[in-house]
Amino acid sequence: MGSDQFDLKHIADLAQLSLESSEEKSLREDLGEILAYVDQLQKVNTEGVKDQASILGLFNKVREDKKGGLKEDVKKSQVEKIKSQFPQSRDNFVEIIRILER
Amino acid sequence: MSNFLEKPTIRRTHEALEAKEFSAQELVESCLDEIEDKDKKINSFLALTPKLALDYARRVDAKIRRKEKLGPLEGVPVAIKDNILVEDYQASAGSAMLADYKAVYDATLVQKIKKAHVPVVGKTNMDEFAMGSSTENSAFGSTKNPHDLQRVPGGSSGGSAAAVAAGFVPFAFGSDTGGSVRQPAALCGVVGLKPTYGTVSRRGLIAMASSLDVIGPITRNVADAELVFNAIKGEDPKDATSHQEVRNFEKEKYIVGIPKEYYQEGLDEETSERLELVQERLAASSLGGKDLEITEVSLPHTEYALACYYIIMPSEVSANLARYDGMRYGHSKKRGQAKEDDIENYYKKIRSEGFGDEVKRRIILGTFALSSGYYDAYYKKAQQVRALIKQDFQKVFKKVDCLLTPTTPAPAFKIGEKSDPLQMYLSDVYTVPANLAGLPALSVPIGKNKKGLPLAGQLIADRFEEGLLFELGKALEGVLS
Repeated sequence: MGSDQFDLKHIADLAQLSLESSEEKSLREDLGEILAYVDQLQKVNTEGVKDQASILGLFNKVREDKKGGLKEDVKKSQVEKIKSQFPQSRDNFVEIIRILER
Repeated sequence: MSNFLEKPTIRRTHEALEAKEFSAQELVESCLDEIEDKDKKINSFLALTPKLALDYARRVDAKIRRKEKLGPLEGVPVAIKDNILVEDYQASAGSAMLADYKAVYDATLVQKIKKAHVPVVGKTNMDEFAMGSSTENSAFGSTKNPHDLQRVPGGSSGGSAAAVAAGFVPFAFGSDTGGSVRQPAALCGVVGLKPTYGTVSRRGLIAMASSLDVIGPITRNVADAELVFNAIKGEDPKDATSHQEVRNFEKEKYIVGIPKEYYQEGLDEETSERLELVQERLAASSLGGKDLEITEVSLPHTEYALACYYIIMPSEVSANLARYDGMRYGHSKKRGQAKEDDIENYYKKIRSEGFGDEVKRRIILGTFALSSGYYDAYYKKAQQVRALIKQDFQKVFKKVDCLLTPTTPAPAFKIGEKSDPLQMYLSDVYTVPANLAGLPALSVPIGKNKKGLPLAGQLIADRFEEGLLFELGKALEGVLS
C-alpha cells in the first residue's frame, strides 16, 4: 500500500505532531517507500501462527505487595530534582494548560 | 590514555593499576586530557564528567594504598551512551527534546558500575533516541569514524564505538534495539555484545522499543566483553522484563552453523571472502580440546526480518515517545511564552520542535501501523512473522551451537552517503533478527579491507548462552591472530 492511501494529517494528529507542508511532502515519499518495503510481509503464510508479543514469554511480573513499595527508594533530594525540571510549577504541583472548560 | 598505554584492554589497564604503573587518578586525568585534545575531530562525546570520574578514581587509589585487591573493572575508565541515566548529568538521548534534561537517578547499570568503582568519564553521542545507523541523526552533530574521518562510525551507539576505537577509553556502553551496539562496533573495528533480551537491567535506559531494547558493552576484545557482561548481568526487581537463566553449554564438540540467507546478494565481497577464511580456519581448529565443525543451515524467514522490525519497532516507538509532552521535563515552554492556550496545540508545538526528522518518521509509521483498520494487516502480521523468525532459530539451535554471519552488509560508509531512509535501514539487515528473537549476539573484528576499513563477523547463540559466544568469539580472534 502506498502512503497516498492513508490520511497523513489524521495520523499526525493522532501522534500529536504538526507537519510543515515541505515536511509533509518528503515524509509522504519516504513512507511510501518504507510501506512498499514492509508490504512483503503479506507474502508470508501466517495462518494459525500465534503473534509473538513477549519474546521471553514472561507474564505480569509484579513486585511484592507491601507498604511503601518502591516509594521507599525515592530520596527527598530526588523529588527536588524532579520538580526542578518542571517548566512551571505552583507549590508542589506541575502547572499545566487548562484542559477543562471553565 | 596515550600518556600511559596505547589503546589498552580492560585487563591490561587493570594489571597496570595493580602494578602501580600509574594511579587511577593519573589515568583518568590523562584520559580526560586526551579526549579534550583529540575528540574535537571525532565528536564521540557529548559531555565529560570529570568530577564524577575523579571521585571514583580517588576511591580506587585509596584501595591501592590500603593494599586491597582490585576487582577486574575497578579504576578502568568507561564512557556511557547518552540514553543511559547517570544521576545529575545530562541524558539527552541525542535529541533536542532532552537537551537540558538532567537525570534524577542512576540506571541500574550505572549503580552496578559505580559499586564496582568504575570511573565514568563522559556521555557519548548517538542517533536521536537511538534511531539510526550512523549517528548522523544526532541533534548535536555526527560522530566521525576514527579509521577514516570522512566516514560514519555506525550507530546508534556510534559515539561509544568511536570512543573505544580511538583509544579514549578501554570500554563503553551502548544500547542495541536492532543492531545499535554491534553495527557501530563492526564499523569501528571493536567488539560489541548484544546480550540475551532481559539479562541486563534496562531501568534507567531511555526507552525506544521495549520488546527489543538491551544494553551491551563495547570493548577491545572478547575477553573484556565477557568481564563486563559478568559485571552487569542479573535480575533487577525494578525491571519487570529482566530475567536470568543458567545454561550449561559444555558440549562433546562445537558445531557452528552458517545460515545461507546471510551470505547472499548484497554482501560486500571482501567481508564475504574474509568470513570464508574464518570458516576454514575455525573448521581446522579446536575449542578446549574439542572439535569445531562448520555446517550450512537455513533460516528461511530471514528475508522478512527487516520488514518485520520496521513495523514492530516504530509501533513501540510511537507509544514510548508519547511521554514527551513538554509538561514535566524536556523541551517545553512557559505558559506566557507559548501562545497556544489549547493543550493539543501545545503538545504539537513542543513535539514538532523537539523531535528530528527520523524520529517523526518512525512515530508516524508506528502510529499508522497501530491505527484502527491497519492493526491486523501490519502490527499483528509482523508479530506473527516475528514468531516464525523465532521458530527458525529454535529449530536451527537443535542442530548447531552457534551461528556465524556477517555483522553488516558493508564496511563504514561515507557521511551523507545514505540520505534515503530505507537505504540506511538496510545497514541493520543482519543484526535485527537477533533482537526479534531475543538472542545474544557478538560482533567481532575479522580484519580490514583494502581501504583499511574494519570488517566484522557476528556470532549468534541461543538464549542465555553468552558463555558459548565468548568461547567461540575468542576462538575466532585466535584463528586470525
